[in-house]
Amino acid sequence: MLSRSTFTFKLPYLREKGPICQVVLKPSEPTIAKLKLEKQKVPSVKVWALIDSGASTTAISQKVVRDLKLVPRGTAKVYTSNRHSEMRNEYDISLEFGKDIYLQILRSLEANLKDQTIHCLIGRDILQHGKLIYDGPKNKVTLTF
Amino acid sequence: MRAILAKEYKVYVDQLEHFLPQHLNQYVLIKEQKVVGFYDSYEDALKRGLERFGNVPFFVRMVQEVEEMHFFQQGLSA
Repeated sequence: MLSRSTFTFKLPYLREKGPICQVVLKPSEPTIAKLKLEKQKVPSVKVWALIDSGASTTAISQKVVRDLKLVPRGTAKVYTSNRHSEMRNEYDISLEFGKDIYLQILRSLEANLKDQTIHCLIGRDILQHGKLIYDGPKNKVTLTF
Repeated sequence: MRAILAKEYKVYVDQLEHFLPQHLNQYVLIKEQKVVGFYDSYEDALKRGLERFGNVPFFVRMVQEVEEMHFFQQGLSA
């Protein structure tokens, strides 16, 4: 799924905003191949994502679902901090960090994100493949796969 | 927000007992409440669904005894 690469980003407000970074989201590679075969345009969005070790799975906003014209590939039961559970749609996407890290097939859940500027939560399903270094004094975060 | 594939999910839950003996840890593909097949990877199931039905909703899920739970400690509204 991943080649060995490092993605480093510096944030002046790391403590206040958390480890956020820009990512490019598209449909998954198999879906892109299907769209190309049908000579359809491949949608793509560049959004702010929060690296969230409290999220077991990667999640995307409803805006991303709309912009990428995603259709569901499943449903999943989600538990939030208020102890409620509900069914959410699951989608297949691809995700790029910078130039070197590209995840071709990623299952992500639709979510109502509180912070309207954040459209993606990078969950532990991605983090389990790499090493995350949070360097507070230098306001720097490094993600290595 | 609503779960569009709720009916397919119900098929999965209702038939899980029958899936488990032979298809544990495989991925099941369900479309319009019918089981299409079982595959060794999510990618294989996804490709098969796209090939057969096109880029439309269909249900893919790993066959597991205990349903995977997804947790979000923060960041989501209620």
